[in-house]
Amino acid sequence: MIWLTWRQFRTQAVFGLALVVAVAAVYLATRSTLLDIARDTGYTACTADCEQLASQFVKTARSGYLGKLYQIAALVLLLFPAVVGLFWGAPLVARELEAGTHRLVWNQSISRNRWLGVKLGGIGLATAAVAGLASWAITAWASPLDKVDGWVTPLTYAARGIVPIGYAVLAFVAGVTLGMLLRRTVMAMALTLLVIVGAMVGGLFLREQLVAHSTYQAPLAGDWDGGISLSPDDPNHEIRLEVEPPAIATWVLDNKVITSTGAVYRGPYDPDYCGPKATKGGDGPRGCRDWLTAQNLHQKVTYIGNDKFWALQWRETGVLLVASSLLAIFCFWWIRRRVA
Amino acid sequence: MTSAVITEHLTKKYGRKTALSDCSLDIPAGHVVGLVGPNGAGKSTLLQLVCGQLNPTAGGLTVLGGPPVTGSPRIGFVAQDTPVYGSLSIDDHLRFGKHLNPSWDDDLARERIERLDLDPKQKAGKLSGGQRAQVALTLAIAKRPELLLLDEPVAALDPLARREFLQGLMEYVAESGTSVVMSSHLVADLERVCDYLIVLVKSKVRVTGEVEELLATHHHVTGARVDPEKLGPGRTVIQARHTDVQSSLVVRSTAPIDDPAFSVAGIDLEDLVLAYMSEAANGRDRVLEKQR
Amino acid sequence: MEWWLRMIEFHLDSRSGVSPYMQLIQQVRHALRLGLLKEGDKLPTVKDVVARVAINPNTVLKAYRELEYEGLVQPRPGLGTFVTRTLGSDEDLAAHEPLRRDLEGWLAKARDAGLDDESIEALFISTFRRFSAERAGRRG
Repeated sequence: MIWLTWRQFRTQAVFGLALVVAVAAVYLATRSTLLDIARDTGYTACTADCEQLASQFVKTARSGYLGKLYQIAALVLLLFPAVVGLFWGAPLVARELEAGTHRLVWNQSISRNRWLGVKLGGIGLATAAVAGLASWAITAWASPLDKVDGWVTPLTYAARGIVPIGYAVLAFVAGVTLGMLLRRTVMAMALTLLVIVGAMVGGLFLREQLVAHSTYQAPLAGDWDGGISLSPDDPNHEIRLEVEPPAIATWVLDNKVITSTGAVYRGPYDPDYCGPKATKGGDGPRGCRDWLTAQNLHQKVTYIGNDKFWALQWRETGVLLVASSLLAIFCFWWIRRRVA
Repeated sequence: MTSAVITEHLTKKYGRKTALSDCSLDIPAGHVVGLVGPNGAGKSTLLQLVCGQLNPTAGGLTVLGGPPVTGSPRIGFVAQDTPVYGSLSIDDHLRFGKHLNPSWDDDLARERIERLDLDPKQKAGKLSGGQRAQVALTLAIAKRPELLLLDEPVAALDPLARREFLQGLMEYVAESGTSVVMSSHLVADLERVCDYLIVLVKSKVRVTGEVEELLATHHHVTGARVDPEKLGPGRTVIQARHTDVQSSLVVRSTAPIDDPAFSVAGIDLEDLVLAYMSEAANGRDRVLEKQR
Repeated sequence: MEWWLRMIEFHLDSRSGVSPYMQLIQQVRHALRLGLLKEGDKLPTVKDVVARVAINPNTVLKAYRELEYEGLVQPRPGLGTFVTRTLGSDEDLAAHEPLRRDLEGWLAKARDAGLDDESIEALFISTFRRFSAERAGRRG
């Protein structure tokens, strides 16, 4: 069965592997250029207060073809599951059912379980390996940049580490399942695409539930960075503050300014200091800022930091693999009961 | 004689549609069994139940002395339309046959392909219908099965390919003594090769038995217009056609019919099968006729 | 050394109304009668017959058994089935030639009288049947 599976899968396997090896080669080959830029901008040698150099490095790196590669990297890993689901998963069983060849192979001395087991297991492992290779190359390549920008920002996160493996495996099994249910390759491919996009968008929203959130709370510092918005005609003198989150909060879930009681601060502001009719505290918004700083306000940020990256990766991959396993179990049940 | 297949009140439903209804059969081993009936009569369903690809809704069956199992090395199956992997070569087919079947007879398979003048390197998708059927048959018999099931193997083939397929099949049967059950809606194909017949119409078994015995006990009877009921005991009218003055009957009778009022003639297999098929189709007419 | 090549080939007529089993027996008898098969000749193996005419092997076996029962052939295990007796003596065969010539003369006459092939065949068969029936009646 292993031989037959390999013989049938050979073309797609070679094609997929070639593609991924090419991707990995490109990224491994250009990694030194990226490191050169880090060195040339002085970022590598920097030991303290490197923010300026870091942003200089990222800016330089992202401006040339490396910037394109950076974007393509995310695209490759976000698209990879869809490609695997469409071209490896969906046709795997659907094509056999369509052509009736399942009747040929099931009448060899082999059980359906073994037939499906080898196909799902073998190609599922290939999927995981190929996704892992691509993700490893890209994660390694982008790590100097990610170190600056953070690993857990939602879009970067899904294209790094082991999560791409989870999505690829889920896409593959979902493609197989849909192919088995629909018995039509093209229809299965279309629906697989929808399911994968759905799963990835769903992942975007559900991801934050997978780890405990960190909280940052501190009094508003004198030099706080951010924006103020108020409406001069508002008789209630309501005011809104937008304070920049701290660097540690890579993925900000919630960012608010609160009073000493813990309530969100909404004013009222003192029109003498803030607004167009302000007379005290000096020119422009400076007086308003100082007045606000003196109001004993706190910034409270709920976030997921870089330190949670691997916990999140393992948990999300775990969820995806469990979902894949459930689908696979369903496949075994279905093929025994419902397919003739 | 041992039985190849025994079914007891075997029933298979797809949702509300009944594909096979209360089918009780005892198919003896060592025969070439023809499973005849119009399209949609339940032939494929019965064969797929026998090879374990389908599970019965009700009733039971025993195949080669045990419950039916998929992937049994003892059963060979040539599915309808003889599917093969279009992108694989004939040689690939033989190789996976060898990999997947412990009882595989590689010499038999390769010799057959050579005798059929097929190039092992050719892609199966480029074969003609007849050649594809031959490859499918080769895969099935190289397993050296005790029971070979064929689902309408020759239906889509031209007469020459059909003949060549049956020649190959019979040659293998002569050499191995394998029991064969072969379905077809073309009776003419089965006439030479089958020595046992099952007629399946509208999901029910109409008649079953050894071809020779069936031919010996069925007669064409023509004569002046008669009431079929008056033919006497032990005689069943299978098919009756009447004009104002004449009746033309197909009668099943173990005893010879020697009433001088009738002219009695033998019947060939095709007429016999057609009589049973039209019996099923005209069931209601016959009831009306009896009431008259 | 050509004697072992002398082997008959069967053919089947599916529209004749005669069962395949009977057709095989008739063809062997016919060959024996015409001297196409002689004592010691081998009949084709069952496998050869079925591979040639696509027929159930049991039918061939049954026909061979019937021929054996009639004493015309004898199976030799592992070797095949061999003819043990010819039908009709050499004198019979010698008589064939003048009879054939008579028949040819009759056929020429029938053609001259304007009969077509079908009419000739019908006339011959009906006459032959009546003749056989009368003979049988006289005997019985």
